[in-house]
Parts: sequence; structure tokens; C-alpha cells
Amino acid sequence: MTMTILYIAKKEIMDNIRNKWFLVITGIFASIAIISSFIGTLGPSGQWMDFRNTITLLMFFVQFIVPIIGLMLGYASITGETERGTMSALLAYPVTRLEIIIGKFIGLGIIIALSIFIGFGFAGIIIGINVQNLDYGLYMSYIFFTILLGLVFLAISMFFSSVLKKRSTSMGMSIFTWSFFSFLWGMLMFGLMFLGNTQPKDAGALFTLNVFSPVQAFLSLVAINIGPSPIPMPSLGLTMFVDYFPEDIYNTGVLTLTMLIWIISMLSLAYLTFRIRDI
Amino acid sequence: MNTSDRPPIINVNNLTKYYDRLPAVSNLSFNVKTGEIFGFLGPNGAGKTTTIKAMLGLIYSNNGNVQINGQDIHRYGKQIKKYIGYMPERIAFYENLTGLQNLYFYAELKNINKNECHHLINEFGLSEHAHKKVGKYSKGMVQRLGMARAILGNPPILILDEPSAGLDPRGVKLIREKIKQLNQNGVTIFISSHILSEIQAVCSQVGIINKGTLVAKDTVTSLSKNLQIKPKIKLEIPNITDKIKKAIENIEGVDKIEITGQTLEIYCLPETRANVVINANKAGAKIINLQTEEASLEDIFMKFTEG
Repeated sequence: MTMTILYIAKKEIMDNIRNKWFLVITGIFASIAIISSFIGTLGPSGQWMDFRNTITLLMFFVQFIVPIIGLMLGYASITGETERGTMSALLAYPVTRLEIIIGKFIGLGIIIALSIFIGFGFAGIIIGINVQNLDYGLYMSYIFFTILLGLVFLAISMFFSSVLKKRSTSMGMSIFTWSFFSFLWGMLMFGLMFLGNTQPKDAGALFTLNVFSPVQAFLSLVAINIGPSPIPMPSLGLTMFVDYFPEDIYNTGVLTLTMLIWIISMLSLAYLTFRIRDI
Repeated sequence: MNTSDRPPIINVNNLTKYYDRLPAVSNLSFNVKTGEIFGFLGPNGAGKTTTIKAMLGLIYSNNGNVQINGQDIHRYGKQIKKYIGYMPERIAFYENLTGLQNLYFYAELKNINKNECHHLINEFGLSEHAHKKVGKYSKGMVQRLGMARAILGNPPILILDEPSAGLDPRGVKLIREKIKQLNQNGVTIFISSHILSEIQAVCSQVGIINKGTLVAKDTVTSLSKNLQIKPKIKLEIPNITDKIKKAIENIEGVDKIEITGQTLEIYCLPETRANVVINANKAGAKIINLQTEEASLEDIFMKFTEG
């Protein structure tokens, strides 16, 4: 079983490297990180921003870009292969459907993880040349949280790809999910707070509900470990009220676990639907 | 040992599959014996591909099952598929990978030595294109690579869905010879096709499916005998007259006469052929050419699928 999963993962990596996806994504990550730090030179200090400030500014971009890259990598993983006809050939070989789901997730997950690591890593080197006394540990933890966010959305899109028959429908659902979690959720939380005339210190239930969004879980992880975003935006939702976070939920362990549960539950659902699907 | 004495290696038992409440196959049962080349014939939409998909465990039937070597395809799929080679009707590969990289991937899945991929690439005339992305292959090249993928690892069972579709005559010949060669080495081959000449050229047994039901299964010779489909004799006569036609029609054993230009097509029993020629001569026919044709699969197919 293990070797089959690795062969499928390797094939996914080769396929995505050869179709230039990998280069494009890596380039995007490197560019936004470098731009976020370089923006500091336009301010009164005239200096590149350090990691902490770069990251808090990057959050603004990453909450939109990483989910959509995860979704775009995974939305056609099952349904696309089925439509093209490669799935029937693959399943005629000694391969189980569970191995396909896990192998694809690992392969595509490595693509996301490597592109974030190399993209942000390259940017980190450039920033390091221009800024003194940087906290590389802080930057590495940010890279880890970002990879986790990408994996959550990859798992969500693989679920859509398993349950929906057409690639176009799977893409539509992925775009809806992206807009729901990246834009609407934050505004929805704000709206609920506003409608209930609730003060942040009394919004315990809303804070609890808030972590069900993987984007909010990611933003909260960054806010707790690195610092809140300097730009107040409705899409940031309750993450703007770092000082009011209930500590029993808003800690690194629970928030990381929340994202891992997203990954495991989505992959389980993907397998359960793919297992009984006619090809 | 004659193939009819050998044990069945593929058993399709009461297979029923519905798509949106419409039956694609209904209560389908047949078996394929070890070492046989089994031709699976049927018009478009008859249920051929659904049957093949069920045989490979790609779909779940509403009723019935498929057993390969006595084992249920869904229960023991991973084990069974080590012994099956499959060439789908719509052959697809990973287009960003080269032909060789694609074969490597499938070789890994079956734990096969990668050297065999090079050998197959050469055998199917793709060595010059081995390092080219499959996305840039012509349809014929993809078809040949598909056949190479199917026989990778020398599986004892080969399932081919329309193997000659889209191939040029040279490609058809290559695949046909390969099928015969593999069968001589003991491979059981299941071919689904709507190209009757393809089936007639290579198959020892034929199954005909129509509207999801198996309507016939036997050798081509037995089917034509049972259906009383008579072979043909073709006489090329420049001076066809009613007198000649009547002289032939009156012979016992002559079933039907068709006239196409200067050619008389006479459906009759083989033992009647000599009388046909003698009577035609007596009636004044100047025969300039004579051909005999055995009952064709086309005739059998039409009998079973018409209406």
C-alpha cells in the first residue's frame, strides 16, 4: 500500500512540475512576500519591513491567495481524471481508491508546501539581505501555518472533486467555498456581532463559531503567534479583536487541531464518496 | 486441450446495471474460458462498455457480480488486477508526462521492471517519441501506447475495448498480430468491438449483446449454422438474363439471389455450388469470375440485432 501511494504522489508532483503550475505558484509567493517587505521603503523609515510586519501585511494577501491555489490544485484531481479517462486506466491497475485519494493528497500537498516554502524562503533571503536581526523562527512558523491553510483547501477541493461528476461543477463549488471563507465569513461574523449589539468581550459564542472557518483559524494562529494585521478589513472578521480571544480556544494547539480536523474530515468524506462512485 | 474444455477464467453472473433507472445491462451472464479469444459484439449503446467496466470493478452493479479466476472483482480487486491488462475505448494518458514516463508509472504500480517499458516502446514503434509529451502524440500513437500499457507485465487476461478504433491499416495489422501472438502464448483475450471483421479475424468465441442482453454466444461457424445463414457464391456474368436467374432459383438448396451490376450473389449450401455453376452454364451464362464467401459475422450480427 505504502509504495503505491508514493508512486501516485510522485506522478502528481511530476505532472504539476511539468505543467509549470509549480513555478507559477512559487513565483506568486516569492513576489507577494518581497513586495510586502519592500513596501516599508515607501514609508517614513525608508527601510524594508522586518519579518513581523511583513507577515502581518502578508496575511492580507495570503488569506485570499493560498485558499484559491489549494482549491485550484485539487478541484480536478478526481473528476478531471475521470472525465479525461485516465481514472479508468488507473483503477484497472492494482490500486485501491483509498490509495488514490491519499497519494493524490500527498503529491499535491507537497506541491503546495514546496511552493510556499521555496517562494517565501526565497523572499526571506531577499528580506534578510535588507533587514538586520531577523527572527527566522517566527518566519518559519508563519510558513508552517500557511502550508496548513493550503492543505485544508486542497482537502476541501478533493472532496468536491470526489463527490461531483463534472469538473466545471467542482470548480464552481471551489470558487464559492473560497469566497465564502475568504470574504463572507468575516463579514458574517461582524454582521452577527453588530446585529446582536454585542461587545467583543461578550462575544464568546461568536468567537467559538469563528474558528470553524479554516481561514479564520489561520488568521487567528498568525495573530496569536506573530501579531494582528495592521490593516483593519471586514474579511479579517473577529481576528481583529486579538485582545478578546478566549484563550481556551484561541491557542496554537486548538487552532492547529481545528485545521487538521478539516483536512482529515474532508479527505475521509472524499474517500467515502469516491469509494462508491461509478467511473 | 481445446479451449472449450478449459475452465472459465471470467464469469459474469446475472449482471444488471441501471443508469438513471434505465437498464444498461440486464441479467447478463456468460463466461470466458482460459486461453480463449472472446469477441464481444454489439451495436453502439448495447452495454459493451458497461460490461467491461463491471468486469474491472470500475462500476457497481445493481445486481449480479463478476468473478475473475473465481474471485469477486470488488472483493479481491487489488489482487486480481495484477493479472489483467486493459485497453479502454477512450485511451487517455497523463499528457504532461512523456510516453516513457507514463509507462514507468504504470510499471511501478504493477511492480514491473522498467526495462520492459523500453522494450514495449520499441515494439510499438514509439522509440523516437519516447521522450515526447503524450499531449503531442497523434491518435494512432496514443492507441499504440495504450496497447503497450495493456500488455505491460504480460498479464494472463487482456481486456480490449475497441482496440482498432482510429488506427490506420498498418496499426490495425500490428494490433491484430499482437493479439494472435499473445493468445498463442496462453493469454485469454476479451475484445469488445463493433467492427465485425476485427472479431471475425481473431476470435474463437463470440458473444453478441443487444439492448443490454446477451442474445448469442458461440463460435462464428456454429452461430451461422444454427441461424441457417448460408454461404454465398458470387458469379460475374456480363449477360445476366431472367432465364439464367430462373435456372439457378430452381435448384434445391438455393436460398436467395441478388443482382448487383454484372454480379449474381447466390446464397446456397456449399454442396449446391457445383449445380449452380452447371445450371447457369446450361442457361447460357458466360461466367468470367467466380468467388465463394462463407457466412460472415455481419450476417449473424444483423440477424440478432435487427429490429
